Amino acid sequence: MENNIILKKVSKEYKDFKLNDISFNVPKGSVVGLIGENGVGKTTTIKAILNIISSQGTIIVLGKDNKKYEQEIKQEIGVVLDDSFLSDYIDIKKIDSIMKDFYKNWDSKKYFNYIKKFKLPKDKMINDFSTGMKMKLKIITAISHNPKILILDEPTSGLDPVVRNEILDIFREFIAEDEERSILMSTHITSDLEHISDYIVFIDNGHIIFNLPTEELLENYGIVKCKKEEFEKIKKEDYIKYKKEKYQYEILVNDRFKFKKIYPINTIDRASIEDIMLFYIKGENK
Amino acid sequence: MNNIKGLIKKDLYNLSSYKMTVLVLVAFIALFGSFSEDSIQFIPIAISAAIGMIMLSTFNYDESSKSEHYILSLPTNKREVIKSKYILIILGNIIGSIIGVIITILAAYIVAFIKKSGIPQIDYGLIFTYALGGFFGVSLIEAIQIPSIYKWGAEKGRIQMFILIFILVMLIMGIVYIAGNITFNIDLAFLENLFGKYGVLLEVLMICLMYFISYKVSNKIYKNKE
Amino acid sequence: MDIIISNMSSIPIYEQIKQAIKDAILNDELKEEEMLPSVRNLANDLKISFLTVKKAYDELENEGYIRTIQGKGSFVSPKNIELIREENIKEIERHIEKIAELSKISNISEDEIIELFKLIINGEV
Repeated sequence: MENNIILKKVSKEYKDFKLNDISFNVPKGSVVGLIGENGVGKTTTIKAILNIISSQGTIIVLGKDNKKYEQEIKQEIGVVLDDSFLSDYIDIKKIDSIMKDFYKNWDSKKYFNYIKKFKLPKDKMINDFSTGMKMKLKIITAISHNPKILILDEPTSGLDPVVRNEILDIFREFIAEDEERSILMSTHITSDLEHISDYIVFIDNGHIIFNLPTEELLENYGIVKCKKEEFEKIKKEDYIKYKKEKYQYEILVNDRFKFKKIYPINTIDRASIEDIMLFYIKGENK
Repeated sequence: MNNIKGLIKKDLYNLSSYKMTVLVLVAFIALFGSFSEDSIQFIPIAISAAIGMIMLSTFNYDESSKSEHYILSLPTNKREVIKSKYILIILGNIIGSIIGVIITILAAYIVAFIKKSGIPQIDYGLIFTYALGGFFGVSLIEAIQIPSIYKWGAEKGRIQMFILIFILVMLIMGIVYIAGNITFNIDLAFLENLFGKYGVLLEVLMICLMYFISYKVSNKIYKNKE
Repeated sequence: MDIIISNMSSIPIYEQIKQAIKDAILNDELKEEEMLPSVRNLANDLKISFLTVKKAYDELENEGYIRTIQGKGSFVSPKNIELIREENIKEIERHIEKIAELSKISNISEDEIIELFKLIINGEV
């Protein structure tokens, strides 16, 4: 079993929104980032994997069907949801007491060690935590039962760069501890993914636009800037999308090395994940 | 079973953030009810009602914390979530009734002490009847409320509960009024006999039935909800 | 060992890693049989994808610089004069590519370049 999570043609229909034939895998030892605008299906996909909502298609987690073996599987998953947690009216010790009952592998020592490491207040109610502290607490809670998989929905949203970095470090440590582990992380802060994800799945309007190694996106994709006359000489199969700006044309290509060899245009830059996303969403087709 | 323990713990922790308010409420009821020998009888009912409302408020805590989806991401399922609520609420009601009885007896002694009328004559049977009646009434409301909360949410449920109580009170007053003005051709003695002997058993059976039906309905509603 | 990655450079990151490790091996900073950091640990420390590090390690292994033992890790292979020669040839190739590019832009002929080359080489000797 090479993949911790397998999604095969997962679909879900709501009144005004449809998730369409989503298929992708989360391999062992890897971090998969799920990107897309707000409301396009990232959270729906995550909730479908966790069987919090029903869906069509097949979802296999740790080799088992996620509906038939739901409780067994969930023992091995740590979850951070964007707007939902255990309660607003409890504190750190009470969380430990409750989680012991749910998770067979709950490690109180590890939990309190992390709490100490991140200097979280032991006798305040969650309600009185800052956003950053609350998120760290949610994450610590998710990893303290040594799960095989972390599923995270917007784990860094609303946080300042320093806290975001601390949190990404926690994730890196998590995945380095055991090479069987995986992380599936949805976020709209794509710059975070550039420093941690191994694969990126881009969802738009309920379906997958691409599913590629981060390395390929950051290394091979590029943005070409040129004049109109130069643009008109470019063959359609050599680029993906283009944008007509005030003073230039901007073109997204998926192999900047090959492009450079064919066309005598010098202004080719690497593309960031954010650039790529914007081109796909706002750029024009050929 | 550990999951249910964890879920109940969560609810109890939520409630404990308001334990001061609860104590004050109970003390207030005890005080208010101690004014006269007549009002003492209503203490068990009032305490049952108060505890009942507090039990239902656990749904409000869940809703304002938006904890539903997170809890479903833990290794539990909808059936266990509902089970834990019913166990918590029924146990809470039982404890509430017992506390009601204890406080009533205490209040009777206190009133007697203040009035210097010696050891009070406590009609334990009456207290028990009122306690059971309170338990019955609260169970009826909760049995209807819990599935409604699963269907429409805790906030809407609150308004609905007040309407429900209002309707019930009107209904009871109406029945009492009608019964006072119409003579029945039924053998009243037979009815009194029936109630006297089997009243308690009937009430307990009905309470069990109400909760059972309520539980089944809640499960069906929650299972199909998203 | 220092591995300094530039995101702005047009050289692919896995290439930069490869070069840094090669330099460290050639400079004796990394000794023979010394164990390299695991793919995942290096990726974490550089804050990049493990696939990038893996690509660098795989190519280093293909080129004979390191050896990977399943379950244990990657180790520096014994130094090879052939390898060093090959490495230098590759760098000369890179320089020649740059020369070709520049000559194309300014229309400098092949003969002119060969002249320049001879002058400089002979000057050195």
